[in-house]
Amino acid sequence: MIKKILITLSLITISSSVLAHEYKIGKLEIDHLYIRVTTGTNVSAGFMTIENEGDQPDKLLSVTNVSFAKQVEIHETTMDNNVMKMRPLNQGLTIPAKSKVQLKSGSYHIMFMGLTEPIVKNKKYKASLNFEQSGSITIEFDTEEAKGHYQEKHKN
Amino acid sequence: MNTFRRGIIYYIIVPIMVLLILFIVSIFIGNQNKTSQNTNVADIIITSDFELYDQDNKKVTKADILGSPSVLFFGFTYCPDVCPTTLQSLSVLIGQLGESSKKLKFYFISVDPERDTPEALKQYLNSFHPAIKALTGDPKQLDILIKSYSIYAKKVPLENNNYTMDHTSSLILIDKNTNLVGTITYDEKIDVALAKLKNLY
Repeated sequence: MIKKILITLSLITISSSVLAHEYKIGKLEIDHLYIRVTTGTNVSAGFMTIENEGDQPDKLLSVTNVSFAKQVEIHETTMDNNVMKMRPLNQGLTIPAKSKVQLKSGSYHIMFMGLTEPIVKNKKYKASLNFEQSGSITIEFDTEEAKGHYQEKHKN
Repeated sequence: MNTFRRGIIYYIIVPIMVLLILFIVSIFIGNQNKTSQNTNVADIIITSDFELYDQDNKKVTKADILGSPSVLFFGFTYCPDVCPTTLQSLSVLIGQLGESSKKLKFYFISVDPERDTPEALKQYLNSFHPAIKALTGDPKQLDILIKSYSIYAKKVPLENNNYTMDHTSSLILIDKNTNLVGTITYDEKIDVALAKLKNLY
């Protein structure tokens, strides 16, 4: 019985790490890549986690080779006195040495504009991430539907 | 002569000045009370009638808002992050309220009517709770709602003639007479948000 549980557990661990799609380039580790499923509009946001294990800072300069959008920018969302503001990071997004930068809801995201196709569930979306120090890497975004702050609770 | 002058000063001028000072002070205090009343949240309402359209291209006026408390969210469909997150959060809240949610109305009001046509809004709303309706139309008509509740909404240009909108992200809570009674901020805890909604009905 215990053996069975252990095997199941290890299988779950293996499959989830396979699903995580981690990418490595230079001293950078990139994972948790996903793009928002679209809701009838031709814009979407891409998210990921970038970890810099090196001693030097790096910078995400641009995202290119995107076949599904006409325009791609790196954006930062901020809340200023309850006002939502979204701004392009024209100088790129710095990944400081020995640290992790999360592109996540309410913070940084890759802004895809002029989508040439809707972003749908269970499909992968390719793009190249171009870093100042580490160079370029082609990655694939998984898809995810927009999530609110609150989780759906099961009613009693 | 000197005594007479002193008499005038002590018995006439001084009392007049004291009365004058008291009068000015009372006016000042009165005005202060007035201004504090004017800024009271209970006095913030939709200032005049308006004519907008919902996602089914049906006309919506102030009369449709009156009569039951409402939750207003000002946003735009080309908003890739904060708007869908907020509408998804609101969808969960509506689900949590269950049957009671029918006592409230929920409006997603466009701050970007240029791109947010009724058709675009209809498709957009498919992803959220069906109780949420959208409002769009003539910018001047939308301005009535935007200005009534001091909503911040500003166009910000991006490259290639694209643009985004800076906008107030809180949910606006109004009573059946359109009086502003509170807000739910973007990062409000679910229990607080639910309590605020329950307070509306």
